[in-house]
Amino acid sequence: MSDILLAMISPIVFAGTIRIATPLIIGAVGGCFTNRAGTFIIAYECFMLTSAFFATWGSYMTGSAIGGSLIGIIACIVMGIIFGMLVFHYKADALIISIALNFGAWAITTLLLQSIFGARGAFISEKIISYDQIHLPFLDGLPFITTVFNDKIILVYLSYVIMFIGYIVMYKTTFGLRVRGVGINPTAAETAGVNLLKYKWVTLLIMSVLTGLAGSYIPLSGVSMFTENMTSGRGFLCLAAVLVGQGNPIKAGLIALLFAYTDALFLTLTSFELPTQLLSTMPYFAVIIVLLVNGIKEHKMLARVS
Amino acid sequence: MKDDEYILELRKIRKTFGSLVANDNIDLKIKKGTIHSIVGENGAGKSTLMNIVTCLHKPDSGEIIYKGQKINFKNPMEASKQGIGMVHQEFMLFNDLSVLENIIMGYEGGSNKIFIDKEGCKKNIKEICNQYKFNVPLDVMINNLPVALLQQIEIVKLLYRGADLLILDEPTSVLTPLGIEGLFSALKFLKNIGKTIIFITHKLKEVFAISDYITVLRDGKVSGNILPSEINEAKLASLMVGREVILKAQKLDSVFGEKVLEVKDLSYIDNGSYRLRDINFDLRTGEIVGIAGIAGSGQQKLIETVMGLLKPEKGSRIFLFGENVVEKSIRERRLMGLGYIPQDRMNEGINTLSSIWENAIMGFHIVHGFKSKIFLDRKEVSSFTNQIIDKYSVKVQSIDDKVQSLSGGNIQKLIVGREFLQGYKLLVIEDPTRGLDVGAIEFVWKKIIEIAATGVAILLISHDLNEVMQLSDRIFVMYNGLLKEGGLHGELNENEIGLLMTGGESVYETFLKNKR
Amino acid sequence: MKRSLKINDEIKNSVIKYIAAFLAVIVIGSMLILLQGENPFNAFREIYKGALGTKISFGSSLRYAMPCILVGIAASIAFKAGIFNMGVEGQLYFGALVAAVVGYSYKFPPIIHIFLCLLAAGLAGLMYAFFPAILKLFFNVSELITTLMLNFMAKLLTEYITMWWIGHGVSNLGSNAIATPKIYDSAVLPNLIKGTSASYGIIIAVLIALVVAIFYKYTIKGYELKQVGENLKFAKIGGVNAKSSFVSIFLLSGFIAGISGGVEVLGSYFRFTAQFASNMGWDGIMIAFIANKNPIAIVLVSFLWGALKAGSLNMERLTSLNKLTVNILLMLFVLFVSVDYKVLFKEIQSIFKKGSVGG
Repeated sequence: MSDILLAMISPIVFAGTIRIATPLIIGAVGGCFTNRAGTFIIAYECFMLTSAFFATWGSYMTGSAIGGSLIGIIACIVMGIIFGMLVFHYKADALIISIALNFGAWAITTLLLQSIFGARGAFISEKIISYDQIHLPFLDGLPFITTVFNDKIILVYLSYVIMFIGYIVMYKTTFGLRVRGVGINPTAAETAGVNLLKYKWVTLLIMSVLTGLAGSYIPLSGVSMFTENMTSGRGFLCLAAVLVGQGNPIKAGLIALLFAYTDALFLTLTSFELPTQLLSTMPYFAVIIVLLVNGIKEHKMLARVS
Repeated sequence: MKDDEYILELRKIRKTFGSLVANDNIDLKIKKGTIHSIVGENGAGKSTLMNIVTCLHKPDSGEIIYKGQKINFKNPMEASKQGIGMVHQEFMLFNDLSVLENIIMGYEGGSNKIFIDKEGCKKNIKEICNQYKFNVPLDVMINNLPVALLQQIEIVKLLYRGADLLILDEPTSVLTPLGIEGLFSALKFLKNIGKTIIFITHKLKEVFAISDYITVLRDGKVSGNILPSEINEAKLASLMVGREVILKAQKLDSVFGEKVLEVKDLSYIDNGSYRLRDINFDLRTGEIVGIAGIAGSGQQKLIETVMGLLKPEKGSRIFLFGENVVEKSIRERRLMGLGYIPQDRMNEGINTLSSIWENAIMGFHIVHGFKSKIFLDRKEVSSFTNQIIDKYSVKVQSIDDKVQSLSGGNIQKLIVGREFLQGYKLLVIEDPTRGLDVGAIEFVWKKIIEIAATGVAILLISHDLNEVMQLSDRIFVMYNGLLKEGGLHGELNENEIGLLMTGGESVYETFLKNKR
Repeated sequence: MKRSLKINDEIKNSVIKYIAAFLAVIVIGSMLILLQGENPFNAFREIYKGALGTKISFGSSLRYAMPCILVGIAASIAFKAGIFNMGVEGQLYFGALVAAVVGYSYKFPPIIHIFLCLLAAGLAGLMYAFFPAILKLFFNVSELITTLMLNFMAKLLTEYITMWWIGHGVSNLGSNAIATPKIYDSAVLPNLIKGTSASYGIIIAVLIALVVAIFYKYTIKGYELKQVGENLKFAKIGGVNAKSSFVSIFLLSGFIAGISGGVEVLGSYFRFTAQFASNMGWDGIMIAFIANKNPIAIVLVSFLWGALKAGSLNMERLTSLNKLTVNILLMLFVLFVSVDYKVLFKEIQSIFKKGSVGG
C-alpha cells in the first residue's frame, strides 16, 4: 500500500502530469473566454481533432513543427468561423451545432487521413517533425524538479505563460472586463455601450486559436504521427476544466493539471496490477467529485444566507 | 430664448406602438440646473418618453433639442457620451463584479487603453464621490449590497460618464425614508453644481419636496406644466388621474358571507427593504375587494405570497378558508379552491407553444381531474374547452389550433373562462382587462360581477383605477408596501383614491370624520 | 369539433426546412464525393441499393434504425423537459451489459427471458441516470457535464466488469476480445425478416416510441411534463409539481436508453462486447434535435438514419469511398436544419432586391 502511495508522488508521475496537462491547459484557457462571454460551445473535440490532423499535415508539408501548429490553428479558426456564422448569425442552437461538429470531426479527419495520406488508422512518416525537447541547464542541479520540468517541448512551458496571460487579460484588461460583462448581463453591457456581437466573435476566435494550438500538441509532442480520433475525449476534459474552473484561466488550468495527474497515475499504477479500465476512469471521476464538492459548498452557502 | 437656458427641449414628440399612442405630440422644456419632475400613472407615457430622450427608441415624429442643438443619436451610447444618462428602475448592474468594475464598464478610459488603470479610475471615482458627497465602497462585490447603495452606484456611474442631464426613473421605490433623504440631499447638491435632473415619480410628497418644475403626463399627453408653488397635492392628483369615465359596471346586490381569505401581519423583505409591510385584510364570500396602486407599490409581492409563489417573512399568516397556508404549495392551494388570473398574460397566463385545449385544461386537470387517473379524457377535455368557448365568447376555429393564433382579447377571455369555470371559491385576478377593447372590457366586468354574485370571493388587483372603483365592494390602496383603506364602493372619488395611491395620507380618515 | 390533419403554417415551414437542408446536403455531399475522386451519382446509387435495394439491405436498414429510435426517444424526453441528458450513451452501455448478463446467466422460457433482459436493461440505465439526477436535484450540479463524464466512465466500467466478472482475464487483448458469452437462444430477439439482420427489436423500438407519443398526447402526466418543458412558470402556477417531474423524466430517459442497449444485445450482437456502441448516443441526440423531439418524427428520421448507415456499408464495399462519408452528410444535415430560416430568407431576399435594382 505504501508502495502505491510512494508511486503516486514520484517525479515520473509529475513529469507525466506536466506533459499530459499541456493541451488541456491551453484549450481550457481558450474555452474560458467563450465561457465568460456566454457562448454555450462544447465543440472542443472537433476543434482539437481538426487541429491535430492539420498540424500533422502542416508539419509534413513544411518540415517544421511550428509550421504544423500554424496550419492546425488556421484549420481551427475555420471551424470557429463556421460555428460563429451558424450560431451568431443564423441563430442556431450552440449545443446542437457543437454536437454535430464533434460528430463530424472524426469522419472528416479520418477521410482526410485516407485521401491525403492514403492511410487507414494512422499515419506515420519521418517527414512529420515534432517539437524538439528543450533542455534547461539551470535546472540540472535540482533532482526532483529537473525530472519533472526539464527536457520538455516549448509548448509545455508556453502553456503556463498562456495560463498567466489569459488570467491577466481576463481580469486586468478592459477587454476582459467587457467579456465578463457580456456574459453576466448582456442587457446591461449593451446599455454601457459594449458591442455584444463583437465580443462574442473575438472570444470565439481566441478559443479557436488556443484549442488549435492545443490540438497541434498531440501529434507533434513527440509521437510524430496522427491516429484516427487522436483526441479521444481530451476535448471534453478541457470543457470540464473550464466549467469547474468557472471560466477563470488559472483555476481552469489548475483543474486541468488535476485531471492530467489522474491520467498520469494510470501508467504508474498499472505496474501494480490494478485494472487499467478502472484507472482510466480517474480523470472523469475526478471531475464529478470536484463538481460535487463545489455543489455542496454552494448549497451550504445558500443555506446560510437564507 | 437663450441657448443655454434650456438643456433639453422636446417638440411635438409622437410615438406609437401599433395602435397604441404612447406619446401624443408632447412639448416639454427642461431648464438647465433644475430638478424637473415628471409625474403620471402607469401607461401615461413616461417611460416611452424617457427612452426617446436617451435614444433607445426613435420617435415617430418630433424634435429633440439638446444643449441647443437638434440631436439625432443612433443609440444610447452616443446619447451617453453627450451627457444624457438614465438610472432605470431595474438596475443595469453586473453581479460577481466589484463596484469599481460595475462603474467603469464600457468607460474604462485611462491613458493606457489596454490595461485597466485601476488606481487611476479609483482616483477619478473618489474625486467624483467627494465632489458630490457620495460614499461608495469600490472594491466590494456588488452582490448583496443594499438597494440604496446600488442606486448610489448607478448615479455615480452616470456622473463618472460625464452626465449633465440625469434621468431617474422612480428612484425612491426601493428606498427607506432615510435613504430617500440621502438621495434628495445628493440631488440638491448635484443641482447646485449645475447638473440637470429629470425625476420620474408617482409619489406626490416627493414631488413637492424636491421639484423646481412639474410636468404631468396623462394618457400620452401633457396635462399640466406647473410650479410646485402653484398647486397642491389634491389638484396634482386630479391632473394625474382625472378623466372622463366612459366605462361603468352594473353592480349587483350581493350578500357577503364568511371569511374566505384572511391576511394577517404579512410582510416581505427583499434585499433589506420592506416590499410588504404588515398587511392585514380579509375577504368574504361574494365580495370583490379591489387593490389599486401604482406599479411597484407591492401588489405583485402580495399576489405572489397569497398564491404561494413567494414565501413571506416569519410571522406572516395567510388563512385560506380558515387554514394557514403559508407552508402550502400552489397545487395544494388550488385544490383548496384558489384560482388565479396572472398579470403576465402571454408568459404566465398561457403557454404560447401549446394548443388551445392544452391551455384550457391547466389547473382543471388537477382540481377537477378526469374520470381516469392516468389518461386525458378527450371527451371531457373537449367539453370543458368548449364550455369556456361558448360561455366566454372566445372566437376559435379548432381547439387544436395553437393558442397564439387567438387575438389578445380572446386569449384573455379564454384565461378568464378557464379560471371562472373550475368552481374556485376564491379568485385572485390581476389586470384582467389590460389591452382589451371596450366591448371585451364590459364583457369581462360583467362576468366578474356575475360570479361574485354566486358567492365567489374576488381579490382584484388592477392598475386601472377606474376598474377598481367600478367593480369593488371594498377598496384598498397599496403604496410603498403598505395597505391603506380606500373606502367602500363609491365612498371616495377618483381624485381621493389617486391621492392615496400617491402617498396622500389619512384621506379616508378625513372622509370618515367628515361623514360623522 | 374538427380535429383533422390540417396542413398549417408550422408544418409547412418545417417541411420546407427539411427539403432545403436535404438538397443542400446532396449538393455539398456531391462535391465532397467528387473531391475524393468518385462519381456522386454512383455513390448515391450504392447508398440507395445498400439501404433499400434488396431484402437484405432493407433488413439492414431496419437493424440500424432500431437503436436510433430508442436513443432518440430517450434523449428527446429529457431535452423536452429542459434536462441536458448527454449520458444516454453511458446508460445504453449499462443496459446492454445487464441484458447480456441476464441473457447468458440463466435459462428462462423464451418470451419471458426477453422481457426480463429488457426490463433489467432498462433498470440498469435508470440507475445509472440516478446519480446525475440526484446531483442536480440536491446540489444543482449541471447534468450536462456529469452525464458527459459518466459516459466515458460507463464505457470503461462495463469493459472492466465484463473482464473481471466474466473472467476473460487477459487485459492486453484488444477491446474486441472482451465480451460476455453468447446469450441463450431463449433471450434472442427473433428474426423479423428471414435472412436479414432485422430483428423484432425494431418492433419493440417502434412500440416504445408509440407508447411515448401516446404518453405525451393522451396521459395527464404527459400533458404536465410537456407543459413543464415548454413553460415552467405557466405549469407551476397551474399547480404542477416541477421538481418531481424533473427526476422522473431523467430516470425515464435513462430507462429507455438502457433498453436501447438491451435491444442491441438481444437482437444484433447476442453478447456484450466492450466499446461496441461507437457513439450511438450522439446519433440519438442529433436525431432528437432534427425531429424536434417529436416521437413520431424520431421514428421517421431514425429510419432514414438507419437506411443511410446500411447504405454507407454498401457504398464502402462498392466504391473507394469510406463509409464515414455518410457521417459527414449526416452532420451537414444537422447543421443545415438548425439554422433559423427567417434570417436566411431575408438575406436571400435582399440579395435579389439588390440585383434587380442594380441590373
